[in-house]
Amino acid sequence: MTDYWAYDVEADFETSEEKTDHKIPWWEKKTWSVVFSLIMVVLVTMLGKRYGDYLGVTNMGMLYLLPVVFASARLGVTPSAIIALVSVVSFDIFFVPPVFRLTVNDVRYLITFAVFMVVAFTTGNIADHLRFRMREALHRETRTRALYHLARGLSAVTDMDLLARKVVDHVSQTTATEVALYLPETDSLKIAAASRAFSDLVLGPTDLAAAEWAFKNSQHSGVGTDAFPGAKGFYLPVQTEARTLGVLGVKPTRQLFSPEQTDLLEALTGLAALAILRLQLAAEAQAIKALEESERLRSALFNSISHEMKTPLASILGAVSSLVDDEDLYNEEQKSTLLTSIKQGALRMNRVVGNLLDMARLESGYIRLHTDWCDIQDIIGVTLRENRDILHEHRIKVSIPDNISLIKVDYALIEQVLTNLLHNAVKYSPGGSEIELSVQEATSELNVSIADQGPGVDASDEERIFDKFYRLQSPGNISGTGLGLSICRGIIEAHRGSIWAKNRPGGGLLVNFTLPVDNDMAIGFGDHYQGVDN
Amino acid sequence: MTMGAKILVIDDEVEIRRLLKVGLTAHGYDFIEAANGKDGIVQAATLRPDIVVLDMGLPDLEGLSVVSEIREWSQVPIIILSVRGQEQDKVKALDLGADDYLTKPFSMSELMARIRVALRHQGNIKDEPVIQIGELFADLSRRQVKMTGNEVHLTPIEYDLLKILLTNAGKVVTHGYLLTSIWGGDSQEYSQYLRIYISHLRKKIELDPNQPRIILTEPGVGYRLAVV
Repeated sequence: MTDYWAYDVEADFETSEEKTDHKIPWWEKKTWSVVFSLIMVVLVTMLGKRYGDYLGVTNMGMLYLLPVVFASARLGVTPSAIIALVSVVSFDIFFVPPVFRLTVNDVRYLITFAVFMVVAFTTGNIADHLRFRMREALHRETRTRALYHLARGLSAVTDMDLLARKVVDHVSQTTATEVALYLPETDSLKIAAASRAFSDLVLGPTDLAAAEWAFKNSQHSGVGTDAFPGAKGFYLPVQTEARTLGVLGVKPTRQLFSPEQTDLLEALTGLAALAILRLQLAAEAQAIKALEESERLRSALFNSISHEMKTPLASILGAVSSLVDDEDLYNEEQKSTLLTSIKQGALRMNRVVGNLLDMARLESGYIRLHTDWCDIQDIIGVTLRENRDILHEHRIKVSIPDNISLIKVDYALIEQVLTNLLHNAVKYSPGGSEIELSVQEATSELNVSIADQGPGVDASDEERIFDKFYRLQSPGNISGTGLGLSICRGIIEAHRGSIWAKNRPGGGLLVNFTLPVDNDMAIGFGDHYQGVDN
Repeated sequence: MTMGAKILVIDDEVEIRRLLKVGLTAHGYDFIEAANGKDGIVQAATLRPDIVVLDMGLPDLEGLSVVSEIREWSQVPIIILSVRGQEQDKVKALDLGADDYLTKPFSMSELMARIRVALRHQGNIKDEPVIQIGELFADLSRRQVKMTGNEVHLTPIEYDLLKILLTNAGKVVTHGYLLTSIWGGDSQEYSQYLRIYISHLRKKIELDPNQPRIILTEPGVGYRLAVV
């Protein structure tokens, strides 16, 4: 795709000081090579004058070939032809008889002259060609290196601002220009990043319009193009096949960009476009995932609330309407049954509301621990008393060692944890079975465990049961919000403890949680007891 | 016993007032009501109720300021109604002079028990030296405590603690009250001692210290000696 017709000797982004110098003619630029060739001609002539007799005319002709070959290798076709002509004339005048005349006695010397010219042309051409190839290779290498460095620089970037910064810095460095990257923000283009002097040099209404135009039309605009040629900057759309993502503005140091420079800029913006697209797609995917997640949680919440509220509501309304509408039909015992179910339903709704409130508090990050010194035995005692209605069908076995350390916790929240764990144990284990509640003290923490004799959970569920709204699939028709254990985890973690579950070897589930003991602060049960009492 | 006692209910919820009216009149009490704090204070001043039942979540005045205003001129027992999670407010209300509290939702029987206890303490009959609560027998005049007939040996602080709880039987006693009564201050250190002494006391007088029946904990507030 690259057309190097206008490729000039020193015009390369690498040597940016000399770029865009198409108009400088060869004789200005290569003066020194020309002068040196001419000096060589003069030297050869002087050498010949001194040792001409010894060397012979033929060898002198050979020596005159040296400046010709040098000139053609260094300068290309036209200048080397001129040097060849100068050499031929010098040879003719100074050495070919008659000496000091342009005329030639022996016509065979014309062949020598012709060979001179052919050598000059051929060598000059080959040299031109080689030089061209070399420049082409150099240009490709520069381009590849620039692209490689940019690609490597952008590959690990995950933040759009940083990406814009890197693109601008890199393009600015590679091309030694002032660069700005425009990205769309709501409904207009905004500069996402710019090299230091860009805004001072360029920003004006024309340039903004040129950038907008380039963005809308996905074409180049600004200086050197048909669209907004009055702008100071050159604007390239940053685009992929499907969409235009932004605009790269470049301020040429001198007048215009060469096609190669434009080509390199295009390649660089193409790379930037891919990196930007990658980030945008990643962000979109993230947003979609977050949306799906919150959607999933919301529907899970609605499902569980509506179920958990409606079930007790149904039993309350059913019982109440029976009592209100047909009170006479029921005997005292039946009435008492209905009233009990009303009470149970109301208590259940109260628990659900309590759990929802706890969840909301934990979620909002608003949870403030009202910690105070607590005796875990005391908390367990209160929990058992508060929940005696639901625990009466199970045998509760409590084992707490004597003289256990006090802990500094939020009493009500730890009570909530124990309540939720006891409710689960009751729900998932058969009536009449044993629920074991035990406390152990380690060096810097208390370990509280609640074990039931239910079916336990699948090994894969041991971790997941603490997820919000996660409910066990297996045991049929046990209702719940799926909030209880996730609340427990939230509370325990807020206390810098940990909570986990595992199946017991003999069957049933064992839930453990730990609470830190502040050894520095805590007064041991045994230590100061007698002393203080006297 | 004190049938016909006048009870003022200050609560902005119509449903709660209606429910309490049914329950209280059925138990033979005179029922007076107020829908907001200002009315409540006026009613308390003009109608001189025997008990005030006050909701903490009033729209106009905070429950706390109603308590302190009534306490400026009256020692009428005040029972606070609050929701779960308002422990700090409960403690503040008790410090300001409220006598007891109930956490919503509560049962009618719990409220009746609180009212009975409040009326009894209002009658200033606390100087009765011999107290029998379930298996626990205490003769304060002789510093003697017996559990299922066997004498229990208490350290001086354990005895003081039990005595305070016994003389306030059925009524909540805050941590702060116990700490200042026994140690004269409520520092962190004493706060820990209080937990430890209660634990020891329970081991001596409770049948199952893991599930106490006599000294009940009121989470975040204090303790209450159960009236069986």
